[in-house]
Amino acid sequence: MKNFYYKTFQRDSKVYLSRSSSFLGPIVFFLITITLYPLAFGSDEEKLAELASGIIWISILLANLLSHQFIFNEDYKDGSLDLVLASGKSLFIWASIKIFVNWYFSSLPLIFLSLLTSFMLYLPFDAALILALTLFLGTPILSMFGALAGALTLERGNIVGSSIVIPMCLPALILGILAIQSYKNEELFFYIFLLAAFLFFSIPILIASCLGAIRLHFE
Amino acid sequence: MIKVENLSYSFNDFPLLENLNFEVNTSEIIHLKGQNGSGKSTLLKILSGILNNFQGKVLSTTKNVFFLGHNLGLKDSLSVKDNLLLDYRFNSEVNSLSEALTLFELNSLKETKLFNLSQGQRKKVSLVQLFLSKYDLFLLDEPFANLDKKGIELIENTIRSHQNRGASIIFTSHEDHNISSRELAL
Repeated sequence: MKNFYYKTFQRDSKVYLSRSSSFLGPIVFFLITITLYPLAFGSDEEKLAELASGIIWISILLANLLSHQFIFNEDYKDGSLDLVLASGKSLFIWASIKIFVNWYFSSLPLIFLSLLTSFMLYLPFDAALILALTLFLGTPILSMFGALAGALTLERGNIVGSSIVIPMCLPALILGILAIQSYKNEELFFYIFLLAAFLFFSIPILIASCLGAIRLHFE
Repeated sequence: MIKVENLSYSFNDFPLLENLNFEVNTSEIIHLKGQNGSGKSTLLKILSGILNNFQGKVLSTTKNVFFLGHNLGLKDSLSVKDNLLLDYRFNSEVNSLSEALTLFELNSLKETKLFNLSQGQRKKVSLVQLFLSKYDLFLLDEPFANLDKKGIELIENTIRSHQNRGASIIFTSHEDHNISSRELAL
């Protein structure tokens, strides 16, 4: 008999793969947004290179908003969440797996795509590598805040969730952009360390908050 | 197996269950009866651990509980087979799955995605899980709803076989069923 948590991972992965809109939506949105910026700002290399880090981070933040409703909402509506609560298994591990699968399908492809698109925005190669590092540290934070917003708004629409997520994600966004902009300075390590610390402390706090928010719907 | 003492539950300050006291013994089948909104589903959710903000005591000797709610916990975008195999409640041999699917007349639909099935067929998929699972306590909310006569007989036989194995079953239904050891009215 396969483990409960392994089955959760397998089941969620299959659901994402079978419903292409859940992971293709953010990718298409990201590509369209990134393409629009050079059209709006013109092809001035220096200007685009200067704005690239902000453009990519903001596009990823907005693309992420499209996927956070998938994390818990469907399980709540189709009764899967009832079954999980009745199972007596660790909800913390279950929620962590669900957030990881969401990150894996929604954010990981965007990190690789951002590396490709960074050259379109004339971002130097060294800065592009720092961009990837900041996104590896920052996008899990975005996914966890997205999960929290999704958990708080299980019965409501996506707009409410998005308006909750964006302000909460700003520290990660600012630290990520500052790290890329200071890729030649020693300050880089300070911002990377802060972003890593933010991720480290976010994991237990945000996942526990997600569980609290879910529990509110069962009272 | 389960002892409920002075159980009360309110929903938005509206008292739904008040001072309930009952016991469920091993190998017992309890039929929960009551009008719409009388709290049958809520009681099952309390017994299964989904709802825990109640007053009173619920003492259970087992944590090996199978719950089947109104919403079946099935994924529309997955096939019948994947829905069953990837359900954490599936604790049987994979070989027995095809036998069960044949019995429930779902074998030809095993690769079909759930969104292509009727309500009755979806219900049968969730009941295949009931048929295959070996738990100590089964909490079933309207297991006979949306089923034809043959399906109802199949589920009644399944419930009896779980009882013979030593499991206890609590189910809700508006119709009379002669499988129950006793009825509990809310």
